[in-house]
Amino acid sequence: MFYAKLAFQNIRKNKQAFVPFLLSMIFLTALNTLMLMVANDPGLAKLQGAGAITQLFGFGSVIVLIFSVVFATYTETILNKQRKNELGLYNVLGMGKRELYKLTFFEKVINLVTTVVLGITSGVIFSRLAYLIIKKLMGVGGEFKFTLNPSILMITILFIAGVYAWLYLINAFNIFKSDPIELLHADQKGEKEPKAKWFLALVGLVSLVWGYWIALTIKSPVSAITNFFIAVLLVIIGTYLIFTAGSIVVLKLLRKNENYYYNVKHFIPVSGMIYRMKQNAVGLASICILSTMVLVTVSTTAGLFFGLNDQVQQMFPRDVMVTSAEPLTKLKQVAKTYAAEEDVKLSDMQYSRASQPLLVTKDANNFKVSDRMYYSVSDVDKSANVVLISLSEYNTLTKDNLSLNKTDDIFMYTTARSYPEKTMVLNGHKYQIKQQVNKLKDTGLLNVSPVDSYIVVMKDQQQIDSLLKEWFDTKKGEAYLAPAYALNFNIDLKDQAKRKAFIRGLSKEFAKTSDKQWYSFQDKDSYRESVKRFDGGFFFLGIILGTAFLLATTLIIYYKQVSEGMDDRERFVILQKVGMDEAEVKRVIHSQIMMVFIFPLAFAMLHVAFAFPLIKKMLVLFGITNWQLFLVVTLAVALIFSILYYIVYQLTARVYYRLVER
Amino acid sequence: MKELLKIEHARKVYQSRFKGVQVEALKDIQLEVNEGEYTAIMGESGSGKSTLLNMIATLDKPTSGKLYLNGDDLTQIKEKAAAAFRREHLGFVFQDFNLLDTISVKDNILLPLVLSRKSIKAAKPKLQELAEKLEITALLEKYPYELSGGQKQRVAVARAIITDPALLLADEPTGALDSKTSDQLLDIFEQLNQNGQTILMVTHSSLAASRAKRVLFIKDGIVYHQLYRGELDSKDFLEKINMTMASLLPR
Repeated sequence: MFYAKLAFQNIRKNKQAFVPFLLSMIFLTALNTLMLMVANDPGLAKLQGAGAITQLFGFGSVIVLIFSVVFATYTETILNKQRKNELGLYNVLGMGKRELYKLTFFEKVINLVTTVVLGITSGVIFSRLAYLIIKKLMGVGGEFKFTLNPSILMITILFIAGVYAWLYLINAFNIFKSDPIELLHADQKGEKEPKAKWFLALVGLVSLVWGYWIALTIKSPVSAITNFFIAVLLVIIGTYLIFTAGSIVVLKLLRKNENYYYNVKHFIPVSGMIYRMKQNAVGLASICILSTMVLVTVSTTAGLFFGLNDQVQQMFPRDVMVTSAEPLTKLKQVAKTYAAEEDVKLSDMQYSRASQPLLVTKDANNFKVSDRMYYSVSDVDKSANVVLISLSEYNTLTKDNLSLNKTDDIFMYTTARSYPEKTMVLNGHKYQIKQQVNKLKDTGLLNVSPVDSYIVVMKDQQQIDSLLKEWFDTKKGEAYLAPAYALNFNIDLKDQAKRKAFIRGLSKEFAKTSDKQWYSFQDKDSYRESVKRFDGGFFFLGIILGTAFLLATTLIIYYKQVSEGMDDRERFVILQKVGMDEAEVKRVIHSQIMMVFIFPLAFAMLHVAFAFPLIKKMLVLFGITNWQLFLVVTLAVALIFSILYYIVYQLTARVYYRLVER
Repeated sequence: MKELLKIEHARKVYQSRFKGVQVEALKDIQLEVNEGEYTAIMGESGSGKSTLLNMIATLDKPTSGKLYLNGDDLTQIKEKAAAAFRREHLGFVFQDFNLLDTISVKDNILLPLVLSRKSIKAAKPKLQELAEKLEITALLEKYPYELSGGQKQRVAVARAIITDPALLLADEPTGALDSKTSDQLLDIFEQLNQNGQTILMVTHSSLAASRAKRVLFIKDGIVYHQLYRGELDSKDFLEKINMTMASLLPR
């Protein structure tokens, strides 16, 4: 019982070390509780399209679990460092290692109990709040109800106990390999000045620039995803090397410049920063990376969520879209009669016939029909979609009145940013582009596609048919010969429930009359619902992960301030004795704090700025092409984050001031 | 000889944290130091000698009484001006050296000049000259944590006198040194004094005090005795100091 008592006293007396540790452990427990409860919610599995969402949340909870282990390990090592002296003293006073194992064991047990009780309680409270947020974000109704699931709580408790066991192992290992003298004097070792590592600084710069370059030069969104990870890796390596090696190289260069260095404004900050960077470069780089992660995760998921309407509009230019390989005249009639029966107006009706989208490889004005069978991701940058449509179809579809005289003349519309060529060569046939037309934009002829699309308007249908026959003469390509009919229209109904009922009725009518005809029926409303669920879930996950990373950032900043405050205290006392006045000391302290404050944030912003084009391209895959909106979202997220970061910094800077100015 | 430092009826009372309990560190100090003097102040711990030194160093102010350095009234000086005053007129040598481990020996010595916004070009020849005199030329590019105690204290002396201070204040300068390096340091002080440097040293080592020209004894907040070395050599002076101390021991 003696050890339990001593352990309890230790924790109480070492508040400054234990409170941040306990707070972060409690937060991690709450986060895990919340995530596991949401991911394993029985209501979630009943949702329409639940597969993707349960997978998403499952994935999210795994990330949170991994993050928890990593972060708990970090806080434990800091805690061990802070307590080295104390344990050394016990050792000198006659406690053997065996007794220290016992003592720290009881400490861990007390911590575990505190963590579990407070963590699970706050986790349950936060979960209630999270359920409300999810309902709002995902637009789901009563099926998603908060229920306390005891088995989930058990799993969380077991996990946290496991984490504590792991932390105890680390702790025990530290005691095992230590000797008392070293423990006592752990913080009194003279520190060597860091060496300027030119090579590493250069490697850091190169990998950062390389990562940025990849982000800037990515052409297509599909290759964006594969390259994204390479770019991220390069930027992370670059950040760590630049913070650790690069900063010291730069500071040493500044120090070599005597006129700059021997100036009261620069002397103390530059010499101080050299040491500060040695101790804290890794911490600062971690803050920078974590901040970037918060910014990227939250702005991407928020971009998805707020770009929802765009996404739906892109995929569904009309409320109802029916496609088939056979004429849809019969279904068109059915739709009209049904609408008349129900007293609902159908508007913006389009009926078109075109070729199926043909995948081609494109080189300047040269288009070659490619074989889907032998298609790989590396070809994606050169790929494009081509749709062929006859002039008469075009004119009825767009209510335009254009004419073509020669069979070699075409009209063309493209989603590519620009097409500067005057001609188009399709598998060897050269066509003169008479005009690029814009009226095809919202006709539903184009699916949202990661690659650029081209709609080619040709003089007549026979011409198109013969071309297709020529290109797809093998059995494999036979499917491409069939035309693609499309019937699209809007429903003039405002009320959600009525719309739903009408669409359901319509699809039933279609099914009755279609006989053996193959067709696909899609409606905007259910698509919007599923997209909202997905994007909302994604956004929720973004917020959760963002909060987790923010916590990590906060704690690293806090620990950094404490360790720096202790080191700097002595320095400022000496400076004051030698004749630095208080105002000047304060000014220097402030400028150092600001430098350390701005450096990681500025770097994180830079990272996000370079990541922006890359994320923009990835969002195109999800149908979000309105990059201005995404820019606004990113800027808003960056602003909110900066404010939060500033608040965190101000709060922790107080600890620093307290230590230094004591 | 010109009078450099003059202390009149200095009294210092510390208010303890619990109201009503007052500690009188200095009762009534009366003291003059002339230019070119080498004075040692002796006293046991708790006698008030550190409080006295802090007041001369403008780090603390007396509750009542006056302090003049070069005719300037130190009790009227504001904090900001006090810092400048310390830089311009005083040099410090401390028991625990107070060197910054994060900058090189050279930069440690140049620190007061940088703080005074002096040009670095003008300071360099001075630095070389001082380094040669104190035999630390080879150490200039090293860092304080790489030096021995004696070397550190010589660096601290160089830092203290690079500004040509009117008064060099030394607070137990030999406190952390062994006897051999203590001797070396005291030799340096003697040499500096011979070249005209006024030195005020606080110590409780009679050996260190015996190298000064005058020794003041302080106890319970007052200067109760002083000895002049006159023509005595340091060995005889040491004997006298020891005798004085023995005679004043609490019986």
